[in-house]
Amino acid sequence: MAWRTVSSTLPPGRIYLSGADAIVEGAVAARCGFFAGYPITPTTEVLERIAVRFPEEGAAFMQMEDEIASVCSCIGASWAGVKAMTVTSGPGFSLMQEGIGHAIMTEAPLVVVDGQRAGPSTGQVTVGAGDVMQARWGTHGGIPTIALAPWSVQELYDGTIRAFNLAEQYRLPVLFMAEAATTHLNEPLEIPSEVQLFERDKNPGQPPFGTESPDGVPPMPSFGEGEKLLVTASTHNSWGFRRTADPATERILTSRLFNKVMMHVSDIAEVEEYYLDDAELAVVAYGFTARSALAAVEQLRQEGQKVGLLRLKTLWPFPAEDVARIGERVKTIVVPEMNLGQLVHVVSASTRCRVVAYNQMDGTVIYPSAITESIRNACS
Amino acid sequence: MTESKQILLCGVGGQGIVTAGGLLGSAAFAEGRHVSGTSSYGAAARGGECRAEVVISALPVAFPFVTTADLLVALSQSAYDRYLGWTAESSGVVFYDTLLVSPAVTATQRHIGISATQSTEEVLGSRLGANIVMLAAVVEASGPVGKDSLVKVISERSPDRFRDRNLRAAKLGFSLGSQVPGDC
Amino acid sequence: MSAGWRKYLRPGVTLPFCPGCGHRLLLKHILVAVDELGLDFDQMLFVSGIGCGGWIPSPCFNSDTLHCLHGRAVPFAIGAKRANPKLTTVVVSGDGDLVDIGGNHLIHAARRDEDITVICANNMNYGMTGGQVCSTTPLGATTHTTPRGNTTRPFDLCALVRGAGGKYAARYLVTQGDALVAAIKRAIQMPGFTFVEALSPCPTQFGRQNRMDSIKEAYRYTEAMTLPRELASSREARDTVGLLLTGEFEND
Repeated sequence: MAWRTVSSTLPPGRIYLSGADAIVEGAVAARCGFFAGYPITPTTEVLERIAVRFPEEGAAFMQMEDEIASVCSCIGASWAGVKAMTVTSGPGFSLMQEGIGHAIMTEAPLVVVDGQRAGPSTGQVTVGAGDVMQARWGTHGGIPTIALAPWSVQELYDGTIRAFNLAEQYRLPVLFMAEAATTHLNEPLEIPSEVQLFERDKNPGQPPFGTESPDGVPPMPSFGEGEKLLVTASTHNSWGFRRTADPATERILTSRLFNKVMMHVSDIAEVEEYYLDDAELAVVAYGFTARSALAAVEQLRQEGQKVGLLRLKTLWPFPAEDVARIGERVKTIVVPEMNLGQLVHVVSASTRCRVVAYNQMDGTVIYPSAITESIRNACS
Repeated sequence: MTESKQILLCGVGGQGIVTAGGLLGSAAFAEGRHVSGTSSYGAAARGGECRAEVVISALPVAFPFVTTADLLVALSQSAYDRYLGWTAESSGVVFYDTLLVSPAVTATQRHIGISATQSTEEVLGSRLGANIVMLAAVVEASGPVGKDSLVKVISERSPDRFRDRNLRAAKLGFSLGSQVPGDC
Repeated sequence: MSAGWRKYLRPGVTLPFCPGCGHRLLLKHILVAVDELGLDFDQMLFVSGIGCGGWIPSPCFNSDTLHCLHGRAVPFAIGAKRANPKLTTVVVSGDGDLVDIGGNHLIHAARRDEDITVICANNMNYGMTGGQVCSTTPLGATTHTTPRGNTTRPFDLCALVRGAGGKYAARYLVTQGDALVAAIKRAIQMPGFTFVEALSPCPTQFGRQNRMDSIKEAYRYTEAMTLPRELASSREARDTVGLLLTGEFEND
């Protein structure tokens, strides 16, 4: 295990920064060495800022011909030994799904920032959370990866660093599910003096695609180290040899890829609880909408209503046990989402408690008043 | 919410609304206050409606967008028409550009006309900088942030080739704002 | 010609090609070029896509290899090269992979002069999926998806790459071993984007569908499609229509 402490790349203290810039500074602080991307609203600001900042830090910046090339070149860079990242939004995220699958299958650490829009298709280019289920099921085959849901400029910075650490620790692509509502937000941000980074485990001569434990993460060698790597996304054994017609090899590989995430949910998935101790109704929310939910809950608390908030900082793997635990205590769960109902189905499947959806998909954020109203409706 | 001030600046793309919102937010941050700022615009940078929201508060705010504007600053008719309804009834104050906006006769909010665009053209030779003239007038007349803080962030954040012009624009705006009678 | 090329094969790997497949010859030519250049195989990265051509380096070469998504070998290679410029990075893949599904990446890599070498094993059809038409299939040729003959013009790959700004492109038959080895060596040594097209007969799919009853016939058919570029000038222009010029092509 290779945690190390490094100094921050910005002077410690408070600054006023946009969410887009916070992502960039988080990536710089995580010592990302390679970026490839393609312009798309609403994350073009991130791409533009990286074009300035990465060369200053000695990292590579490339504007590619499309999002497919962007994610694929990141995988190449990751295997060549550097931390890599790309940034996109809905349509580009769709184009990247095959590459994300390749990164899952070859266990290439990578950060994909998705500044989500509402969609669908080219429908609505700004505010929305259209890609929640795409983050889980977008690539064919259904192997899980990790998706985080930041809610503030601070968390766009801290969360980007955490995304790189999780990617390296678990050897997979981490999907950083930002939203236009937060990437276009300016807020005070606290820059710490130090950053904790996870560096790749090296173990020369060991198989790069297999472990003895059924949920393990193999060491991660790089090209150019004399390991004569055989990297393929086709079904492969622990040394990378294609064994596409061997059921046992397929079972061993896919079950380990599944287990290395799903047997570590409690280490990966993070939630925050607000006013839940005596709550009779809980809002379960994520991303920007959780801020609206918190404002709504605080207002209703002032009115004496026993309501609370469970904020999901991690979307995938889904923190099912936390939802189940809250579901035991409250009578109703309200799930507000800036889409037509995505995560609510997973919340429903995780609890026997009554679950009510509040959905809004019109290119605007959900205001606290809409959530207070939906809570009142749910109680009546 | 009483301790917070919610300010909505609006106009069309190219008028510098997003820049003005950024300056206002930065000035409030420099004063050590809790602040959040956001801008909203479409895929097209020029010509479309746009707005910048700034929420300044003594305490941290969960919801960072404007829910009811205490101050509306309007630099185009279409944006004024759209956002007047976001402004607090009676207690809200509207600053509008006298050249570009005709106020609604039935509005209950106090309306203050600032000849930002016209004065900028006359004094600085073109409309470039009217956003800062308007912002400075609002700061002088209504004081969401201190004048010194605004001047400081304009100095710090302006590109070299625009700094002098922007500071002259601020000075012009302060003088327009000082002619507004009474507290607002 | 060096006979030491076999030492670059990954131990335990059986070459995965059909009888008579031109890719087997191309594999040898690439390794001979590596051997003659005296390159450190541990500092070479071979990147390949999906299809028969992609199997030339992966798993056959005992160096670092990256087997990619269909059509995307070029951007994978670019990322690796940019991240570690010390890696001598060579893409080896088929025509369908590099030019049909991956064509946009190919022309942009040529335009940006990315420092990689792309070797295209051109068998003029999709071999691995059983023989379908491709952007390099000759006019009139029969495939499973052109049962009445191909009615669309094929690309001239070297002209495509040069048109996109590639500074070096070369085309030879896999049977022109010395010339092909020399071209691969030049391409690898030359900085920037370089492209080598190897015309590689596919007797099993393309040959059988076009009534070539022997491996030899498939090779004769392919040879008859080509003309050395130095002979082209001595012929009437109309006599060279539909022929692929072999040789080296350089942009200034």
